[in-house]
Amino acid sequence: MPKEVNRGYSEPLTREDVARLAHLRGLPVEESDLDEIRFRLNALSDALASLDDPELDTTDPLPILLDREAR
Amino acid sequence: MPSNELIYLPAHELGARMRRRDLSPVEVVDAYLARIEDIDSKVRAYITVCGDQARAQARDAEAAISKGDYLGPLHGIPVAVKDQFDTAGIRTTMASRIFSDNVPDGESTVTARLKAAGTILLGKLNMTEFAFGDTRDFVFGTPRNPWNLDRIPGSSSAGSGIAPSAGMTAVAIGEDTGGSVRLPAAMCGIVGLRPTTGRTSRYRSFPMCWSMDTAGPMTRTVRDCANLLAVIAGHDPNDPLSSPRPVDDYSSNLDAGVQGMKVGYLHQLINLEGVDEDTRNAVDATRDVFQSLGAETADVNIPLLELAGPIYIAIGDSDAADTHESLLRQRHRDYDVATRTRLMASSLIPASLYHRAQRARQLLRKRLIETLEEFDVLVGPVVSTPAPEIKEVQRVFVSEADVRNRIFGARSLTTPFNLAGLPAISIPCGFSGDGLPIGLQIAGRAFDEATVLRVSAAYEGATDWHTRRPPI
Repeated sequence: MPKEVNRGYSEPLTREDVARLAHLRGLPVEESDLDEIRFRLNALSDALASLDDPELDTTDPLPILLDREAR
Repeated sequence: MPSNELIYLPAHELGARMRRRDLSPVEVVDAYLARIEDIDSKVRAYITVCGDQARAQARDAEAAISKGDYLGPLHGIPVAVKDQFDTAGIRTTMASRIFSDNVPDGESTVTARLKAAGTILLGKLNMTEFAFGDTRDFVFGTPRNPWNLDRIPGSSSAGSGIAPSAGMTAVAIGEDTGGSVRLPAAMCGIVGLRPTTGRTSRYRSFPMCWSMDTAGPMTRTVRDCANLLAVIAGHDPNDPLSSPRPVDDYSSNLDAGVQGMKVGYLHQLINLEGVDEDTRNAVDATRDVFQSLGAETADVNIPLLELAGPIYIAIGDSDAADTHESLLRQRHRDYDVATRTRLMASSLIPASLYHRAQRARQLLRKRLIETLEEFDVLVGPVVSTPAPEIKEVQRVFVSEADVRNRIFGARSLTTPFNLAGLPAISIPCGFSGDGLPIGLQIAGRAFDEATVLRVSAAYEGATDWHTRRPPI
């Protein structure tokens, strides 16, 4: 069975998708900004989906980098 | 001494002369203020200049030194600070329209420590809006590279790169979340250090990414960088990420050389798509210098390294989106359009992608730490090309490929060390064919800034790149 890669959204976002998502998040969005927002978001989704490292799925997504030895 | 020589003396030389009372802090401050008056309209390094206050502080420093109340190597030394750090009673704007009249009632830990060391605050420095990297419309004027006014000075600590380079301060403070100290240092031909996460305090520094924001020194020499780091480093109970480890003596070992040290060359970054020939050649040429000084050099490959850019953006920008959410709802039209679209995009990043980036971050950190068990330092380029044209950086993104080509690769050079929380410096290592500075990045083990500085000092001592001055 091929490994499923989570790219976040199921397909590249359109201008309408971005406008709708921003609305649902309560964020005001300028019509003139929609293309640049979707370019940024789609490019990031593609880049992260394409990460192909055998250890990735077995590494914990720890959010912080505390200096543990010193604490 | 003519003021055009005075403004380019290393800070440690200024300090030594002041201590001997061969030079007055008042004279030095006046020389820098005159320089600022003369050229700041061309380069836009400063948002706020504290002339009267600086002169008063200089008189106080002169009196104190005369009485024998010498506070250390930075006593009486003029400093300028990125306008991201709160300064009590002095406007702090983050280069944002929203905070253009903001006067804090308290002091950041970084500026408080500078004050306690006897430095003299010349003013607050220009930056890209809220420390994001690609501002198009600068509220306080477009910062320009003193080596070529049509080029960017690097971001986000733009003024902190310009001011030491152009002789508009002795030393400066920047802040580095994804490269914001090292990039302007490289593009302006100075030294800039991003310390280990937790080595300098984030208290009352306007946040971008809580786990990567790091204040760092920006200077004309490695020794000045070491002295400035010693002042701002150290535990701060006001910052929960601040490390309680004792602060090293960064300057005592600067002349120890690199004999027998192992220097790893980051093959993927040096050969990354987009790294231009001048930059690659300049970085490659440093091997001969290190070898001639007795170091051993070898190529290093670290999986994921070349993908650090998008990993960083997913994490750093998501954190920033959280910081800005309320302001974005209330004042979105007061943001620069590039900041706004970047924040809007990062507000819509799904948690699954954020976690994927965090997994990659941990892997990258583990691999860098393991590699640094074998090598004393790792080196590579800071930026893929010398300073690009302002109009090129300010272009609107026209496709996903445009975002990928202009941002992801370039951000992969500096961000591995932010993601891993490791110290990394930029020092001058050459010039492009059209006369623009090129920086060499040297990264080290966590809390081992002393070795990073020692290796940097050895390279600096064997070359003369750091002695060149911009034509302005």
